[in-house]
Amino acid sequence: MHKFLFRRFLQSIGVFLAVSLVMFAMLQAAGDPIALLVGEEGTPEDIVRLRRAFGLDRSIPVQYVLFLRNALRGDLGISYHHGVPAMGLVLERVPATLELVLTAMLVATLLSIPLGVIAASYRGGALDRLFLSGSLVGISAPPFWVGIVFILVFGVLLRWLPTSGRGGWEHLVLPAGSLALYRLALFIRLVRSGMLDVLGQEYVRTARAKGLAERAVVFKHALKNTLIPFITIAGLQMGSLLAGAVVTERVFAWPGMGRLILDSIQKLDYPVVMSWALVTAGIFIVINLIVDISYSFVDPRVRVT
Amino acid sequence: MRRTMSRPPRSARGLPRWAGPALAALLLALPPAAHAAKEHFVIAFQGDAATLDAQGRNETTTISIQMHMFEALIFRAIDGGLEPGLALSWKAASPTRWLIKLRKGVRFHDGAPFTAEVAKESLLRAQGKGFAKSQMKHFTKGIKEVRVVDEATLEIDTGTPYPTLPEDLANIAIVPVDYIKKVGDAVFARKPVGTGPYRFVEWVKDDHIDMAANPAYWKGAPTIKKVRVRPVPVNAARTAGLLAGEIDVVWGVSPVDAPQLEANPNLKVYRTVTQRTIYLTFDHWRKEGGPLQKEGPYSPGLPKGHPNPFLKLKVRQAVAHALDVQALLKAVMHGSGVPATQLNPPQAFGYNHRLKRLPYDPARAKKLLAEAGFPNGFKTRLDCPNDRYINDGPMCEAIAGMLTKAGIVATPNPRPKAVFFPQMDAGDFSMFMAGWGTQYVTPTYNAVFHTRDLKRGFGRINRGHYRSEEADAIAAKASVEMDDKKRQALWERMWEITMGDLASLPLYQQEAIIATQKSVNLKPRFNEWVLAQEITLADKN
Repeated sequence: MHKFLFRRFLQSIGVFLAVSLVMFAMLQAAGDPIALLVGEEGTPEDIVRLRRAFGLDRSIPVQYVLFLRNALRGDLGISYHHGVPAMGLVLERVPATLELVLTAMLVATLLSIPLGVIAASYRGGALDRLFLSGSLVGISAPPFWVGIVFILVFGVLLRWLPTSGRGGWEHLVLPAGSLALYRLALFIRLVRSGMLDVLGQEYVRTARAKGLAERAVVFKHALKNTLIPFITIAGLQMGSLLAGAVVTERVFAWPGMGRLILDSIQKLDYPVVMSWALVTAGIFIVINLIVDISYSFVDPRVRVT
Repeated sequence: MRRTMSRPPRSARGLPRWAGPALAALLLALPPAAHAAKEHFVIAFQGDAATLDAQGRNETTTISIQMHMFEALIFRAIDGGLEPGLALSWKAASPTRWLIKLRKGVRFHDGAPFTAEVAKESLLRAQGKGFAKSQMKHFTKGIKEVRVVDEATLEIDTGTPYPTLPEDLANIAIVPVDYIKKVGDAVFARKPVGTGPYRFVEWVKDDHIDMAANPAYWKGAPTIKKVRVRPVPVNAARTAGLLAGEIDVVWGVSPVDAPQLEANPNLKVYRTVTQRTIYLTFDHWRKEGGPLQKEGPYSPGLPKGHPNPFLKLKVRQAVAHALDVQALLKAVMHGSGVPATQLNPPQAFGYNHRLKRLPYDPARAKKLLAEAGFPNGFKTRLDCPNDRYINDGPMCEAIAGMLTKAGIVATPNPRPKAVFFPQMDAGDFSMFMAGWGTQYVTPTYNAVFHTRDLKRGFGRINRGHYRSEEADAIAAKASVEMDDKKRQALWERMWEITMGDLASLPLYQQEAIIATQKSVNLKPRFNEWVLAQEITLADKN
């Protein structure tokens, strides 16, 4: 286990380096941040001064090396637009995103497992068909549209819930609900097809034959064996949401990382984009680690070495 | 050595034992759903303030938010004129020396007094002294020296005649220099202290900024006591918040939503022309089409070897006659926007009210093209940004279509602003669309029309290399003319010359659209600020 963690740690350094290099290269191609910052009315002195202040007057390889050196000291630079440390800007938005994503994932997971199991158990029945067609809608509906429809129906027409912003739990319902919708639909299908695979296996027949209660057969014997693909996909979904539920955060004016990164990319705020990329890489590394470790919990044949 | 991880305890049903209690704890942790009565007056902008340091960022939303808490010596009135702010009066004692009388007895929100010394230090900070990040430097460039004459009098020495000093002073917020020295720039930028009608309460980035009425404000406390400014990026979500009654004022209503809101009896919609002028610029200097080279002789938007038609006034006039700006505004902007005759808005000093647009007349356009030696028209690229101005991408396509109908076969080439502007600066165009947004005629002329001389700071945005010695001479005279009437006449003449030459072809001034609840009374500002202190509320009966 220690060896495993140590190896993962070494790998993650490589991941951070690769991510920073790719992001850095991509940003170079995206345009000129100073032109955006000073706007049409900015003077040439402003441009020269800012270019120097941000170190953009150096050659690109030198800029990258300086970035790495400062990053090692924990300094990812000052946001061009906000004038404060970039990493701080990213980190202070983590709680909002975490709140949103964990709620959505929790709702999607807790609902999808029983619904998926039910659908598989009554394959071809009315419930199964209902869940299947419902999940088709959930998977196909674009998140932007879902968000706006939620706002219009529950915020404007019914006035049950606030239309945007972060505050009490009532602010959380619509954005988390619209994020959960797609995952719920996806997970239902995942659990259902996994269950259908497993329910036809010999050991399930054996379990039934030895007279176990159907509930024990389904949940203890069958369900556990469908969880590995489920955990994999759920982990990936979680990671991409934590990196920024970009569209949903924007639609609901949710003050999370997704909104920050979108604004920052539009403004070519290099330090914020780089900080975000590193935080995101870190999130993915941790989630992958959790996913890998949890495999061994669900399936004793899997070993973490 | 390999080790298998130990298995965690599990309940009989396959879910871990902690799942039940965890869920219960989560539900209990959620606060009650009480829809509290709306405590704040809510203004929704599109973006958040970049900083609350009133000298840290020159950008409309940021300044509009800051101006609840800060004041300048001179106040920019709703109609664009100048009124006393922290200064009672100002006058030029000589062309290069201004005397400014300050208001007495004003205090910052932390109790510190506003004095001549504070005013002086604020101006110096705006110039960048001790605050390199100041974005107000260009407003204070002309200030050579600031002296404190007495407690309530400031003397500003400008070196050269500087008739527009008061205009520039209206942009410089007075900041609490002692507080800043104590807490540092970074803390000041998040917890601002000013002299304005609202005190800072709280800032949750990207969610809200709360402010409370300043009871000690020298004009008297504002009527609205608690203000919340919220950044809501998606237009539809801002509109939804207004419809749901959560938001009182929505800034930046998109033109497509405006008619629907106008039809709603519970809401009010205000439209006002802004200083943002959208215009076309031509290549005035390169002789023929061909690939772009640094300082090269070819105009890259035109086919290789073809002569540059934009060198001819008649062709530029043909472009003007080919465009039906009213129709463009109707089709692309849902009727939002006002056809422009020059690059400054009507409220600007020096605006020439006698100028008229060349009328839409495609037949005349064709005739002019023929007279200029292009009986069959010509081909060109039309470069535009597609994420900088309202509906700029579609506008680009529509303009190209209209030009093509009149014989100028234009290929629209819209690109993101981060790519577009550097390419325009590099001369990668033959004709492009862009916007110019200031109410000040001197910087407008010097940047957009003055013969290009980048070392001396002239012609920075004159990417088409337009030149008129006559206009340059008039502008030089106007920028040091201390008599307002004479200065006005000079600038009017400048507009006559440059617009007669079609140095650029102004298309329209963008409109700002604000929507509010019916109970809200405000006068829209052409500088696009929304200030709670300028809003009154009708009784909700």
